[in-house]
Amino acid sequence: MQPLLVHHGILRKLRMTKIDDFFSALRRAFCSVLVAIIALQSPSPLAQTTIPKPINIDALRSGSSFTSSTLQAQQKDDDANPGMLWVDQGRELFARDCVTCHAKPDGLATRLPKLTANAEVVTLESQINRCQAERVKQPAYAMESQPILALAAYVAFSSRGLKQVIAPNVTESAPWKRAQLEFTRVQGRLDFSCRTCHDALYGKRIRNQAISQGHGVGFPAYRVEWQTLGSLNRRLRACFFGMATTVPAVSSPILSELELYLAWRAEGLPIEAPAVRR
Amino acid sequence: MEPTPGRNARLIVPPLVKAGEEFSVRLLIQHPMETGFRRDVNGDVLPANILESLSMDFEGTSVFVAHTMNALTANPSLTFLVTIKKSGAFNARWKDMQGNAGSISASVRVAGA
Repeated sequence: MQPLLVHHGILRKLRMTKIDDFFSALRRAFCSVLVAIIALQSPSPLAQTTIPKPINIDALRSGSSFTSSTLQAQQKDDDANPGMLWVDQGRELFARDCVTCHAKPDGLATRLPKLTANAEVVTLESQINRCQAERVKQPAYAMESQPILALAAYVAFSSRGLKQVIAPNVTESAPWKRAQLEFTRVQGRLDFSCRTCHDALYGKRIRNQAISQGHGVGFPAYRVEWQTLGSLNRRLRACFFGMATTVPAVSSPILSELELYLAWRAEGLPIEAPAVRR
Repeated sequence: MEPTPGRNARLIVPPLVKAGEEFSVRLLIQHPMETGFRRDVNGDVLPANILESLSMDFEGTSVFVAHTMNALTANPSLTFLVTIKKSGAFNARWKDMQGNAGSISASVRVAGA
């Protein structure tokens, strides 16, 4: 049986090679025809390299515009906003640990999350822990611990009113592409993707709650449901839970990649941290 | 910095008032107000920790006492109205079930006094 099998295998290989050659030639021909068609139809297909935003800049609305008037009033009034308690402590920590390098915290949060040279996503919280390791020479803070929330709240608060900035070439990076896929992928028991609601149905209601555009510019935010301040990482995990799908781990890279994608979506929207949310 | 419940607080008063004019004093305390009924991810009961006493005085005179119980929200905000005749400082003091105590003060100036 052995020689027969070998013989058969060689035959098949020969046949495959021929078929492969045929198909690759066909593919090449098809592609050139397709390119010609595209070139004929649109005047300059290469000029459109920037990917259009899911929500036009004129239509961008902050998360607080979807909340109740009570919560909006609480967010606006620094003496009623519980998030300011974290900001107060963050101011002390910043004065102790951060002023050596950063004279002022103003605007630092607008450029976060960002991409490093080796295409890693740095979020507000991971930047604090990077500084903690490289400059302050102290162990990293645990996510959702009091000091990291306090510092993040203070840094974000110091950028309040300033617009979210993102590097123009971010859409070419692998993290952005992964996050876009995750954002648009239908998943979970309810057959939802993030896009289903936040790109197309914002302003409408689900379970009698207004659907927001899903921007992260208010975070870290005080959420009444949590009874505490929480990071965008925690909010995103709550999103996955709400979609009845697998909730990623706190340290999962997809969460910081999604933060990057959200910042790209929200580019131009002013920072409003610490926000107050339902 | 190890967080102490009730360490962070804000006492908000107007800096300048008229003698005898009513104004509001607002107190915002960072406190978990843990009821003792909740469990953590491992199923262990989170120990109860509720603010038990909360009082405020103005220059030694008690002006506000709250009997706070477990129905009160985490990070409570309390507001009351008061009138004063002379300049002075409000002093708020509180203590929780685990013995953490906190205090904060703020001065108010009475115009022309």
